[in-house]
Amino acid sequence: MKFITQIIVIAIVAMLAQLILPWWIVAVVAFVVSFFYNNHAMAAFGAGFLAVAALWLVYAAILDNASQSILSSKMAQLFPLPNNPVMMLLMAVIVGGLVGGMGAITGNRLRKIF
Amino acid sequence: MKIFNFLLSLTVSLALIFVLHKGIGDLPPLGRLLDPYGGFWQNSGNDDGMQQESYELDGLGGEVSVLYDSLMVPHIIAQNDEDLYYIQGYITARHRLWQMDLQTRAAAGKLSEVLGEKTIEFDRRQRRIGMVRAAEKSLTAMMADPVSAMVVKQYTAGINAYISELKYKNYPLEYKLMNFYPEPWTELKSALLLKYMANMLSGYENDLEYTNALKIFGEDAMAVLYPQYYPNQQPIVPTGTIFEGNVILPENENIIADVKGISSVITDKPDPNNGSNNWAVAGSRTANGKPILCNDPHLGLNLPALWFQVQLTAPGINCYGVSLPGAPCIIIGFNDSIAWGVTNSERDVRDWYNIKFKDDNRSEYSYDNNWMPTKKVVEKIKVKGHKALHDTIVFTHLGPIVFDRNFELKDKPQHQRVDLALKWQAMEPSNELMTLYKLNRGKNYTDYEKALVHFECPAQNFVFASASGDIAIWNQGRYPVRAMGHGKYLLDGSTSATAWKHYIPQSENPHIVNPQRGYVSSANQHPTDQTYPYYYSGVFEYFRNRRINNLLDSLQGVTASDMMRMQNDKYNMTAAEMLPVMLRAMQNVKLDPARGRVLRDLNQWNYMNDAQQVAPVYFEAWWDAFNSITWDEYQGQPYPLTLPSTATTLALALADSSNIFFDVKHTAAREGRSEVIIMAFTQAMDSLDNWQRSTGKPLTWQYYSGLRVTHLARLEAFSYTDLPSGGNKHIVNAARNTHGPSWRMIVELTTPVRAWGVYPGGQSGNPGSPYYANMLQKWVAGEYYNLVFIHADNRNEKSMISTQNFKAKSK
Repeated sequence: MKFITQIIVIAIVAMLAQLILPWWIVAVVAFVVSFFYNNHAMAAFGAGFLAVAALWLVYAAILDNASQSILSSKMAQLFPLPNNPVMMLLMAVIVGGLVGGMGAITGNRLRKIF
Repeated sequence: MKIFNFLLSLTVSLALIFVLHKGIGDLPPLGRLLDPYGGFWQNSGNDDGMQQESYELDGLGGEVSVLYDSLMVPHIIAQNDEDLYYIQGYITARHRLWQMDLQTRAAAGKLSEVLGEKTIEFDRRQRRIGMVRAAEKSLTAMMADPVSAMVVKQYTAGINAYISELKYKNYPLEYKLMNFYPEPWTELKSALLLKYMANMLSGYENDLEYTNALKIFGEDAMAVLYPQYYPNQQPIVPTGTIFEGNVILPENENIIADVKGISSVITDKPDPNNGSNNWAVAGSRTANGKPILCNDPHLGLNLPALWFQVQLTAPGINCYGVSLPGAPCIIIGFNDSIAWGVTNSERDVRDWYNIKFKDDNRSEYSYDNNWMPTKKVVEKIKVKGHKALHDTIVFTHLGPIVFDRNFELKDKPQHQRVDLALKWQAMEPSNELMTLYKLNRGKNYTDYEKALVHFECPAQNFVFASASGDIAIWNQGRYPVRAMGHGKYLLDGSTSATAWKHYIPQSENPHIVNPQRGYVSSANQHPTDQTYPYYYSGVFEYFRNRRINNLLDSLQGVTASDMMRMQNDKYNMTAAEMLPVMLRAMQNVKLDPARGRVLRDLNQWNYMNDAQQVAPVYFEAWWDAFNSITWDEYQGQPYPLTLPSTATTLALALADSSNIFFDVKHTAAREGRSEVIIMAFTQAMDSLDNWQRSTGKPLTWQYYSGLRVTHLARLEAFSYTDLPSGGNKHIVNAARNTHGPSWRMIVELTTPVRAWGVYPGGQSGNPGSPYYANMLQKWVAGEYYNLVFIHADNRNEKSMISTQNFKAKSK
């Protein structure tokens, strides 16, 4: 339950922060929120990862869907990945998730010091 | 341990964020790019700014309406000129900012600052030919006239109003991918863009290669290899026209630089196929009795598209056409009263002088038996991720030393050191913007004539038609008076005898108004026959113009759809004139059945370079092989040379079948045309087999011609390849490879005026927009869009998809 609330809190705060702050603020949010959850380091990483991954996935999917994936399929070819818009969503999930997860685990380990 | 764990994850996190924010090497900053709140997702299918209904901008005087039609062409309705050009700048930047930025960087030699090491040599040459100095001179001329000064200032202010609104998330996609930022626009950048075009269109000559050829082959051969005129050519001003005017006899002398042969190269020459078609048909030959004007400029085909369509409406102006993103006004277009279009003049206005320096310091050079001092300027070229590079440019009074010891071919040991100073009309101050400003507002032939006088470089053939029934064409530019042969070869830079001294009076530029035959036309051919009293040289086209004139001669009751068919004509004139000779030579040659079928296909061919046909491929490969065997004398020469043109090769083949150049040097026998044709056939068929094996593509003209429209940053994912358009160089539809008709326009000067147009791209520069390349398909198919022409009091709202109101920001 605690794990679920941690995900929700990170995701909501990160979403609000992203409206005005640069992308890397998601790491700071995951860091701060996870400081207050004294759980296992891997659980913290998972919560940060899933929160940011979900946040980016949902918003990116909305933008992508509204534009019939014109750009995401071209971007996939650019990298080059298979010509499929899902590839770019997957990349966003991995990159966003990693950053969120690393922020969260860092917050968790700071907490462990005290 | 706990502290270690914390510090470890902190370090990893920070490093991860740093890399994802900054990017490494060519890898873009993935974190910023993939973030849906600011990254590339924000560019996907964006509404191109059309959804918002009202805007408040600093710097606007009154209210301006912008109506977008279904092609996303903005129709700008302003109350005064100041607001008109302000909004033209604002709207153009909204759709094309990155392209404008990149092209002006390319012009100024500042690409390496954002692209890194790979563009250093390009930047260096742009600096050496002096693009920025040329733009500065032009800007001074622009600013000296209050009208053009207002236009370029307002346009700049509009672009900057748009840039100042931008946040990272609204940056054009390419900034995010290539990781740099838009910087404020300046008037100089607009001037640079016009010079970029001048370089593209007036930067082609072969002075150095001709000089080498003269040394190798001798003077008699030069007349065969690079003739001044071709048989049966049809100049722009029809043969037999009497030229009036007081001719000043040339005072400069054609003293060719005393050099043995030069192994340096003049690089980055513009594509010699930069050409175009235009023509106007008088009312006497059209179905509805009003003139029709057509134009299709052929240039490199890129995305974002070279042109941006716009309609400009304010008191005194209501004009539709294409603009160059980054430069105000409309370049090719029409209004209620007149229409105009351009093709490139091709006359040589770029010379090289061989400079004799006193010593290696290059601080003094010999001129008229005196030592003249040079001036040295150090150019600093910033390079992304590396130390800046400094290049010293030496100036003489004739021009900058562009090519010197730094540009010698390393693998050619027998070189002679040369220092070549560039004298080029594009370096002189001129105010071409005034021509555009006046043409946009022109009412009749007199207005057109008055507008043209400002246009000096790049010289253009301006075709014209008016609703009042006039048609005309002027070969307009500022041309030096030359002695016979002057400027074809490297000139001696140590004597004033070779200098440019006079210019041809503007009124004596070749032109023709309302000719008897009922049409005017140009396709980069010779402007005149040999009775024109002034000498000029250049690399002129020989095929397209004759096909155009043949077609126009055969048409009566001309309609717009006739003109559409003509602009898309794929008749291969080279083949029509040469292939019968080639097939005759093959009559008694024994061939295996497969190659026999090739000849049968060619025999049945209608000479149309259609995309799905195989015969144009056979002919092209055969002709290429014929060329390379004919000119085998050029292979293995120690100095750079340029091959004779298609027109020259064809004329020689038709006129002199036993010319010594047909002899293949490495054989004992004495070959003639027929032997070369037979050898070429085998060679061509072998090379086609190889082509098919290596590409795995079907053997049709579509794939062999490889027509493509490429993103400016050469990103394959944003490009379109193997387009089935048909055509070729020297064909009216001159589409091939990366080159072709960049804007097809047909204007019927009826009341109301009617026009059709298409270009290979779309109005938006954003690869994520549905308007990025939406016109490409129709362009490939040879189809057109009806252009929507509105009036301030009749806005044709039902053709519009969005209306926006701009007003001054309330204080």
